[in-house]
Amino acid sequence: MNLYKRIGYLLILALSTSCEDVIDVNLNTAEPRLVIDANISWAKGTDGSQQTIRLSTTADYYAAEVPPVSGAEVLIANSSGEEFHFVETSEAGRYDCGNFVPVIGEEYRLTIINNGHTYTASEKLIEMPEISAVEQDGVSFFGNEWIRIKVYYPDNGEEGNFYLSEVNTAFLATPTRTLIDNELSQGNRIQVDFMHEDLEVGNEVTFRIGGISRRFFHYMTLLEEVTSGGAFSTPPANIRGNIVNQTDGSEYALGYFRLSEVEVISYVVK
Amino acid sequence: MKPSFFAAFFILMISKAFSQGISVDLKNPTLRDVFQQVENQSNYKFAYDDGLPLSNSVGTDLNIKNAAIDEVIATLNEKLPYNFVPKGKNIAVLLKTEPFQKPKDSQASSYTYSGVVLDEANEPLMGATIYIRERQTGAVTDENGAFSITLSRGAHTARISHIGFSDREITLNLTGDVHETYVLDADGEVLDEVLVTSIKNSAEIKNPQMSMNRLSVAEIKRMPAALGEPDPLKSILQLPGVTNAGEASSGFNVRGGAADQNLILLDGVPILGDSHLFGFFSIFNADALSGLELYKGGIPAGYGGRVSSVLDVHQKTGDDRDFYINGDIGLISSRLMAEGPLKKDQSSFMLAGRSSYAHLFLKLTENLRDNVAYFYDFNAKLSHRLGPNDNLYFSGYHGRDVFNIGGEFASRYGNSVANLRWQHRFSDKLISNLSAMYSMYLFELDLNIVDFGWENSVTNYGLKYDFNHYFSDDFILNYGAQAVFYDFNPGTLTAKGENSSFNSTQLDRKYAMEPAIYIDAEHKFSERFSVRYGARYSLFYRIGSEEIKQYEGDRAVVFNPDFQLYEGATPTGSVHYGSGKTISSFGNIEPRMGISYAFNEDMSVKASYNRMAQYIHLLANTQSPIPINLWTPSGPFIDPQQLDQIALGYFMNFKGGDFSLETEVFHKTVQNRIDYIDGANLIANNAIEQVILNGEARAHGLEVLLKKNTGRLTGWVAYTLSRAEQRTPGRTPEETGIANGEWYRSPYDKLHDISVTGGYQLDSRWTLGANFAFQTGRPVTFPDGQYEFGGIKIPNYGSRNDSRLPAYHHLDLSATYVPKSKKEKKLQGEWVFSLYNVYGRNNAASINFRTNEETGINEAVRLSIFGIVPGISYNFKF
Repeated sequence: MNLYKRIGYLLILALSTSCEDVIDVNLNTAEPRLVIDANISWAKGTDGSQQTIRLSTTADYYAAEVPPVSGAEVLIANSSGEEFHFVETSEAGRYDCGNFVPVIGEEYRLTIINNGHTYTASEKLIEMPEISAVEQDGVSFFGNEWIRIKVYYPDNGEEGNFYLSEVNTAFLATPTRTLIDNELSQGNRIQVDFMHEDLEVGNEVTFRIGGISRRFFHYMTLLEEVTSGGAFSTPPANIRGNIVNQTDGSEYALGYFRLSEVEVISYVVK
Repeated sequence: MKPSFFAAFFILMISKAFSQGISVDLKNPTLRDVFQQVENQSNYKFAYDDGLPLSNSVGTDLNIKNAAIDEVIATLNEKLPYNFVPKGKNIAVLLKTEPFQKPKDSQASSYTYSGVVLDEANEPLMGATIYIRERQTGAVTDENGAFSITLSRGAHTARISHIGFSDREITLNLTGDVHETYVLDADGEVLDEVLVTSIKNSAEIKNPQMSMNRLSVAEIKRMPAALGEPDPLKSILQLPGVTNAGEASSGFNVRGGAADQNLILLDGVPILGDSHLFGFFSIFNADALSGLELYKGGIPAGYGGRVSSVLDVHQKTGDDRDFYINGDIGLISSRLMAEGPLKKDQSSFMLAGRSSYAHLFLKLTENLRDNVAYFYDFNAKLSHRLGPNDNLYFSGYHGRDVFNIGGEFASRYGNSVANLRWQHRFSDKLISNLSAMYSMYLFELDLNIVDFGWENSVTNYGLKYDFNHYFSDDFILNYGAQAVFYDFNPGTLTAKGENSSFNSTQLDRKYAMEPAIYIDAEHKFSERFSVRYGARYSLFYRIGSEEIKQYEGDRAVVFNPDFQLYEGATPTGSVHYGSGKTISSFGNIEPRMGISYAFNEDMSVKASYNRMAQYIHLLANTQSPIPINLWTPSGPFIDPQQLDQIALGYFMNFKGGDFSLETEVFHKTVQNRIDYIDGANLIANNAIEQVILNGEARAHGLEVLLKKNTGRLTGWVAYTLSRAEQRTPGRTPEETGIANGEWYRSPYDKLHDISVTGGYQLDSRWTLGANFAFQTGRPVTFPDGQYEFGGIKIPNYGSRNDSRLPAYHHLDLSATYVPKSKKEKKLQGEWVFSLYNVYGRNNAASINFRTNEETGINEAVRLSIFGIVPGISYNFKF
């Protein structure tokens, strides 16, 4: 239905003498809050030992950079109590681990101690099926022929499964994200598309698709809503992830701790 | 001044010189004649209010010979329906306000004088007055043009008048009950559109109905419209207390209510989707309509089912004597309307069609062939006189929007509506209307690009039996019963082709029945004091067959205290209800009351109270409505909405009704207003109860409407000061609710709202129109910071709806040109030129916060829908 909203939006632009322009809006800035960017991803065919967690705070909306948070203690423990420590690197706010051991379905617990507050989060590492096929075709869209790349993988058909696809190619500044749930596609061959009017023969397109939890799916859905905006978006809300401040619940942290197995595939447009 | 005036003046001067006293010998003169004669033969001047109908005949002959001034005054007091009071050298002319004293023998020989007043096109004329001179009493026709008066045996003179039409005077000699049909001729020989400027829209002083506005199609057509497409729904935005989400947005908000809280009726049938092209235009083709009424409060008991307002839209009844064709060629659409008799004086038809041009995607691409975006609609009304006491009416509407983008994306949606009504007069005092109704909204979508097909719909079948019972001039009872059966299809998903990754799925259909009975009394206690009171008893049954999911503690939404957010609960099982089995039921008694107290003919205060219940809800959480229109019934997890509204008003006509002032204050509260958990997915969701919370809403405000009703310049200034808020508190102390459970501004809260609408009749060919609107910007939520997650810059939002878009205002102009029509030619044409948003204000439809793709810097981007939009259309009629 997101496509539908986008079409509606295009229609508004087409029908009217509408225009978009950048304007100055004075905004307030709230007190800074800790942000935890703990995306653990295990690409198929690697050992997954190298992982990174980033800590920062919120900043003024128009600021070019967000302030990093240094000097925190960051660790992940698995269900048997084995700890993987993340050490701050020369890049402020970046904490790396070189000996992480990913196991599908294993429940991990993240602990971060910063400024005397302890933040924790628990999440399972979610499995990703193997990509079974990649196809290319053309789509006539708004009177133009667009190249489309389609990637397929099987859904296991046993439970509610959720996936996050990130597609990148040289001319994109940020990857194109797609959130997929199998509610309407239970047990089917799932199709992930990428099409773009600038896509040409010879472009290399990278698909990075991971299994995610239901809660992370909802979290990312909200993130998409607040970043895409537009007349057909839902009212923006503050997005709470899965991180809990054990010291003081009101001083909550933003961000998410998620673990995904990911399938990465590159395709050169023919 | 005309020469005849001079002549008359001269003769009168001579007659004055030769006689001592005053002589008046006139056959049924006008007041003006009388005044002139008396003034010319004496030193006295008549003093009167501008509203005095100087040109109306007094209805009696005057024969005064050589009399002194006090004798003349005595005669005038005796013969004319006014009080003449000498004050110095002036004679004040006052309306007789003392209540009528009934003749003593009235109970012995009183009869009913009833009838119907129609215009030339046989449309019922609402608001026509029937004045019985001898009795100084009268009646006003209702929406069917009907009236009923109790009179004593003997001779009476009735004057039937409606502003904009020539008066008719009828002499009655009552020896029994009579029922008559009167057709009033339009006042003058000009086009209807020109006529309108002389229709007097003065405030209704003595009618206890308040919070109601009426617009005729002629008024609607005169208002400048975006892209020159006259639009009844956009026109009501110029009324006090009515706003919408912004330009090119469907729906409207009445007194801080949501768009789904408006009962929109087309010839009595509820309409479930009101817009074309994502809200650019409404589904109402102005050519097919005769007018509309909007009830914002004090809603009569005959209406029910939505809490905020009733918009009662009437289709035109075809002329039953002559054929007419009306056409309109505009920038967006072309319209054609034909009407005429099927059998002269017995049955008539009205058929109208409208279609937009299919290639509206001009800006998108040079290659137009594959892309289609248009809408069409058909309106029909048939009427047939079965006999002196029976009429049969059929009303129909069918409209669709059609989109097809290169065959990859196709959508089609719209309403189909039908109503068959049998009107039967049991007696002059009892009229009934039996209606069978059908209304359906269908939304279809094909995404061939992903082999996906979708359809959802809601269908209503209704039966309604209404009675209007005229007990006396002072007591009318309206009562009736109705029942509506609902069939909701929340979604049918079709996998297209073998490769589709989707499973064909039918979401659980839902069924419901909504019966109601009502009684409504219009009771005039005295000339000053009238009350309209009544009640509606509405019921709602959610019925099977349906599988209802069960949840622990009956809570389909649970609160996660760790992350402080709401989540869908996991069902513990489900219960199957067989076909026709009651799943849940609700009942509401809805009292309604309106009081008016008139200080005099021109000034009154009114008060009203209404309680309303609403059992079906539109599921929508986007900032602008999308045409999918998912309605859902109340049931095990969704309670009916319930509204209480009180309003007080002060109404005044001055300068003889040339100007009127209507001021109202209102306060309303709504229980069980649906709110959604953050990120709720409403489409293709088979467990909608898992994303819904019950909240409440409230609104209060002040509305001022100052109108100029007559003259070359007519129009109004409307000002509304209001506040609309809602809240969804937590169900337990641990829960945060939505927006921390505090009151927050509704998305349609507009603190100030000023609308100015004017029309100016320049000469017989040119009419000018202007609209100006100013509104406080819509409440929005702005970010108070940003953060980064996974390489994405994310705005962090402050308190909900705490900021506002910049003020919204625009000025629109229109000019209507009627070329001089040659007498022998039947064709009458008219050009309408319009300019929307004259000074090119870039009104913000929304402000989006996003990261610039090239610089990576965050920025605020304003989307404005309309710049300056010129429009032109040609209307013709023959």
